[in-house]
Amino acid sequence: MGLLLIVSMIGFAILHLAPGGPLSQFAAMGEMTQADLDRITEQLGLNRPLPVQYVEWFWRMLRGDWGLSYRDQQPVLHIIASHVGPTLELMLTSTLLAMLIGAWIGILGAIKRYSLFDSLATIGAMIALSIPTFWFGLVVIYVFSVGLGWLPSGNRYTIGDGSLINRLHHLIGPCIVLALVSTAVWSRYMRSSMLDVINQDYIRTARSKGIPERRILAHHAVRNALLPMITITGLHVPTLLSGALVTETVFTWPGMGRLFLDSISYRDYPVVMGILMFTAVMVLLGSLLADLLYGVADPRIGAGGR
Amino acid sequence: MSKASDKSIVTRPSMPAVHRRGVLALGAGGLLMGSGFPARAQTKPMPPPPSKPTGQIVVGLSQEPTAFNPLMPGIEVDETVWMQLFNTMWVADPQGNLIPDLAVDIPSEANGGISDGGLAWKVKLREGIKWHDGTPFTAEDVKYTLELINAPGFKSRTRVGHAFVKDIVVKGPLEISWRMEKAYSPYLALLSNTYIVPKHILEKSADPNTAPFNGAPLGTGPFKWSQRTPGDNIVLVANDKYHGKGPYLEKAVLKYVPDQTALYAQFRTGQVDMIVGTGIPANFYEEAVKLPGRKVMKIPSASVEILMPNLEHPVLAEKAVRHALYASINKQAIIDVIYYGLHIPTESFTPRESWAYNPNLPKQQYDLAKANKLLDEAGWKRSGSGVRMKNNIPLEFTVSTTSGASLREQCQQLMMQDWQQIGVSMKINNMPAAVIWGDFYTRSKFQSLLVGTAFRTVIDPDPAHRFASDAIPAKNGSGANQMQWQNPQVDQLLKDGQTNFDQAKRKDIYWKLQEIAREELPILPIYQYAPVEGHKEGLIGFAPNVNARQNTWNMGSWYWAR
Repeated sequence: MGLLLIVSMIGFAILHLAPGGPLSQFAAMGEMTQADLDRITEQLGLNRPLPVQYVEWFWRMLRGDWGLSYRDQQPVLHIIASHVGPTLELMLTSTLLAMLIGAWIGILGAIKRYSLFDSLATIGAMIALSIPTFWFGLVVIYVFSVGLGWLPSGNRYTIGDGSLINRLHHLIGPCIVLALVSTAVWSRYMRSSMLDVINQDYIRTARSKGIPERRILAHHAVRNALLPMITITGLHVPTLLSGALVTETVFTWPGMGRLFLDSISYRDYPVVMGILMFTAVMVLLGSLLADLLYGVADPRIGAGGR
Repeated sequence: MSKASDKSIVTRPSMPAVHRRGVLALGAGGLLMGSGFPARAQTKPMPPPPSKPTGQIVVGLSQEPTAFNPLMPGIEVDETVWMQLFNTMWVADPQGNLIPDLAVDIPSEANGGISDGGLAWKVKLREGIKWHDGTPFTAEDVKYTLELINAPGFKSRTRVGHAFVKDIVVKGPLEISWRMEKAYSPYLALLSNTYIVPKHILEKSADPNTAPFNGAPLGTGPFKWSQRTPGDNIVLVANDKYHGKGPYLEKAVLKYVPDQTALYAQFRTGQVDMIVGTGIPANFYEEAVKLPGRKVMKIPSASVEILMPNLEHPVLAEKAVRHALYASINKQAIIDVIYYGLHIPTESFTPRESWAYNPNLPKQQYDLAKANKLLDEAGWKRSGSGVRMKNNIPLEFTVSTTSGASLREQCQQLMMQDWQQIGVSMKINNMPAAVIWGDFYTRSKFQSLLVGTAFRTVIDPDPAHRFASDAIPAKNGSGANQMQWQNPQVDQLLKDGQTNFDQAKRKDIYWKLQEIAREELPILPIYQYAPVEGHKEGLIGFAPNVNARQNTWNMGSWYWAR
């Protein structure tokens, strides 16, 4: 709770102290006069001292009133809720894909360390990590949508369709882009974690006992190597919900990343603060989840905790 | 451009049953001609519209419409929605004529609608118009709308002009009158952009600022609100009880695609049927016009790209400096090299389609020798570093614009190079949109800005809020005179323009104003915008309108050739 308080204070202060404000977008048009801008600033309560604004916002938030968006006058919680679904759909799919492929590459790379496969995987991972997502997204659209016509060039579904097949079809493009980078990351984690394990004494003991290699890997090595991965997964939870800013923009995915960017660029303070608090809570819950899962996966920790 | 600059506006007598959508049904071909379309567009006979609303259109927008109460703060893209859901008392067609919509005719001194030297106004409204829920539209709705705009607690977008309205009287279900605190001729134009909202819905809310209406609006327009997926799209459906002709499309989808390149890709692959508003990026223009099955065109808008000097800056305050800077802007290179030849060089702040546009202003010549001479004569001497000095002040200043606007950034580079050659040190100081257009802009904290903006009151040529001495926010004025221009002769002309209802006289006033601005250079005009918009072939009824804030102004008249 204390942590959330500090996060909210810092976030609120940085956001409000940054130059510009929610009315900038109107000022550029030249239609509204200074009298109009000043009046609306006052009506929004933005001319009051910052601590007063903060206390009022915080008190309301505690009571479940996260305020209304300056942009569309809708409740912040409602806005966040309507963007979490698309983000979760995209992030969950791409993360699962990346974890499976990444783990497989990582394990194989560790077992066959310094082999051709391992070298290629390492180089591939470095390339994947270095490619700007924005550029790669546009390349995917250019090749698979504009050029080959295999994939839609963005959007979550075709308006008026929205069947499962249609949605899956739209999911492929952004999933490829997101999974590329995450696969690289997961494969590196898995490889190093696996390398730590397969050089342990108990693996050597298992081998000396004549247990088949496949069984050693499946039962002794991989299971232990997965432990650190659980922590990473837990810490990854907020990412699942906060979205992928660049990919969502390029593929017109109406998710949290996109919402955050739009809200920041329009200085929609209530929504930005809402997303900030939501993400902060998710980080805490993610860490908690990782701790709990650790107990489940590793009986030693579970026993110690009881 | 074939748009007549001297055609009559506003006081044209009413054409029976002619309204914003009907205009097109009457003469779509004529409008297309006037909008720069090739004449062959007329030669093909138009297929007739369908007997009942059929098909859908997906309109791609690079900004998301989020404000749905048409009286509250919003930007151009929000107007794309308002235009479909609501109506105004009259609308401006592409030639600048006001066409009655909710009203029976346009009030004028000739027909007695405006009297007492512009202080008394009277409007008759059309019969038989219904709100989307079936409730009849009456003069009470107009009264409620005008009063709401001025209501103290209501976050109305702007009260310009409306603040003069008082003593609103409903004389019958379809007749309304009011008085003005002072004669103000641009009000006619302002009302062409004032969407009427339903009294019977909004009065039920304790606070109209947070009324459910603002999230699910209801109007009298050709389309009805259906649903919104935040961050993605808005679906509108045909209003089969619409008072005008049409709508012919069953469904209109407004699709938000945040990235302009991605939006263009979706236009290419056919996921969006058309792109309006910020349009197709200039660098895709050449390719886009060759796309099969697509019609892509550049469409003049009322915005002008200018260099806005802060006239309180010690260097930029000097007229000779502004003239030297202006003479050394290579407009043609900027337009050809950076903007692929799209935009139109201009000398005026008034769009050339306006009846008030002065075509006789001296044409700027890119002439570095002349610029150097001007500065020499003004006593700016070159120092050792190459930068000119006068009274120990170096000839240097910053130019700011929105960071990330890559074409504008290239434009800055070109200017910088040219100005370097005449001994001017220009520095770039760009900032994110939310920062630059905040106090930095409104309170004139910049040295100079590269900005695209408009200098008129809706479609009226009156630029008083941009040029009057009492409109400088940095000096406690209420307006948008950010360059801080102060000129008594201009103030008088602006006042005369606002209080005069005779268009011929007003035209003389605004011609003179443009001459003074060209001579004094309170802004350095570069070009008038002509963004690239496009749609799939087979769409009938699309009629670009420089007098509407979005070219979706007449969507009710659109249909697909079958």
